[in-house]
Amino acid sequence: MKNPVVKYVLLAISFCFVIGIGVATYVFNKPQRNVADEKPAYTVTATEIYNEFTSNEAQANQKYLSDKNGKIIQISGSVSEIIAQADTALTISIKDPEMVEGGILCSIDKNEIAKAAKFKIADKIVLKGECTGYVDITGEVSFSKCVVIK
Amino acid sequence: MKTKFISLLFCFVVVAFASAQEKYITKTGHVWFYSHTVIEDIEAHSHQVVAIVVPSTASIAVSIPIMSFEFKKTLMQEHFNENYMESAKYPKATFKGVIKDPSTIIKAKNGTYKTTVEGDLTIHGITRKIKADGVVVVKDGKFNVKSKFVVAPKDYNIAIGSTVADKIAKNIDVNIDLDF
Repeated sequence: MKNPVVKYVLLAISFCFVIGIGVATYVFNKPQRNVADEKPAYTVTATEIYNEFTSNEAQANQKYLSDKNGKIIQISGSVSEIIAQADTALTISIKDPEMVEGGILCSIDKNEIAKAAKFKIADKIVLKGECTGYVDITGEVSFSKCVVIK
Repeated sequence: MKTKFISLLFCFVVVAFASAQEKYITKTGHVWFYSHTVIEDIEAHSHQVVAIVVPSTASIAVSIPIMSFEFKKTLMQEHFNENYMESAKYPKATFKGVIKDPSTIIKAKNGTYKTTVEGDLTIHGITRKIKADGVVVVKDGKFNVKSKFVVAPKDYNIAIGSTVADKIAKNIDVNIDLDF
């Protein structure tokens, strides 16, 4: 260990090794996506996104879904249905008067249930959530991890 | 007389139509799967199952947004969507089928009934016929359906690379729990 060059090289290698392990651990334990902190990829009304999915589902999938997960979308519209399951889960349907069938189905994020539980039918609301595609059997665009904006 | 007949006929049509339209819907069904290997156990859940049961035709239709499955590890969830399920291209799994012995689900009496479900399961763009046993619990006009079946990824053209082949089971247990 007399040679200072060897010493520094060894030091540099071990430093890189530690950083490498750190990065690998972080990536492997990547935390859950925090919808509240993410900027929406698109801001739309319920009618707009509904029309896109009902007129051309494949094209809408391409726009609103990315390879790894659904894109974060901000949606506005009126509450048409509230489905509460005890205090553990809450799903809200959004529908605009011009939509005859179907709607937007929003599964509310666990941490936002208290806020969203105050909504009533016909309230005009704004939510932000992860788009998960179109449910053809009920004609609804599905969202998960929704947080309350307004 | 003729008008009476017509109005009677009309009544029949309305009644027939109304009963044919009777359907039960859930939009918050629970589905989860387990992959068990010696190296790793993997589990993912979704509470966004939409299902419709029409007793008069004994039909059941189920739709599951694949991206609504949540894993403990985000990285795993991203791999699931991107590499295996190709969820952006095939965003939902669907099932359309028939419940054998539909009387079990329209029986008014509270109780637990065994049934089987048969139909077309579509995952990753591939449709296959499946048959599964189910249990229906009827309580005060509402009912719960539970079923468990096995899905082999290779049956649905889901390619699992050799580097992770030991970590992902060849047969995956799928459980479904629907409250109507």
